[in-house]
Amino acid sequence: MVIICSVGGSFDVDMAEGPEGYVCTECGSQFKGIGKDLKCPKCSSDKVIKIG
Amino acid sequence: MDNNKFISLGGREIAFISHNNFFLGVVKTLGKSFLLETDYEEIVLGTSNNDILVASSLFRDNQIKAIMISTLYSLRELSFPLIILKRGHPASKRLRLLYGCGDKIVLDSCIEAGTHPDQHMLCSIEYLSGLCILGKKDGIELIDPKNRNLTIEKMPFELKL
Repeated sequence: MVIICSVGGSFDVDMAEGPEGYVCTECGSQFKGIGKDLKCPKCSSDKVIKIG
Repeated sequence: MDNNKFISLGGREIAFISHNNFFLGVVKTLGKSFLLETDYEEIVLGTSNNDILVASSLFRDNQIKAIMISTLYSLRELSFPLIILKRGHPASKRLRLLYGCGDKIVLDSCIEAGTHPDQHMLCSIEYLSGLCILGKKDGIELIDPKNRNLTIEKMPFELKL
């Protein structure tokens, strides 16, 4: 769950949990992610695994 | 009185919930991922099929529906990155469209914006504060403890010239 919020004073992203590292087993890209059912930002594959 | 209202919502539709020409725009995320860009890193936000992406306006404009469709379309269909300004950035004062994403969105009138202790909250006008929107299979559910006078309409989620 993420809220991206702005109204006059501040603009921030509040996260229930910090991002974790992932790697795409299709293209090898590494990225940070949060939430559910993550997809690779480079190739859109859903074959990603958490790397801590 | 039942204050819960189910609104069917397909993947190619947008629901507008409004009061006095202040609007919320709601679309399904369709399980897509979104790109959040901070000063230091890119964070990929993953969602499930039933999650929702919500835009909340703090201003009136006769083009607000088109503005919301354009921005939500850019985020969901074109994977435009969302640039996250750090707290206190001067541009923050000029931003009047807010976005929330997840399986549950609770509107809040945002006395102190960007400091929500509850992760489900999204800034809104005062009148909509407390309204809850849940992402459901084939639609959304509104939970409105105050049984507010809301206008709800749906239209195709598409760009038109």
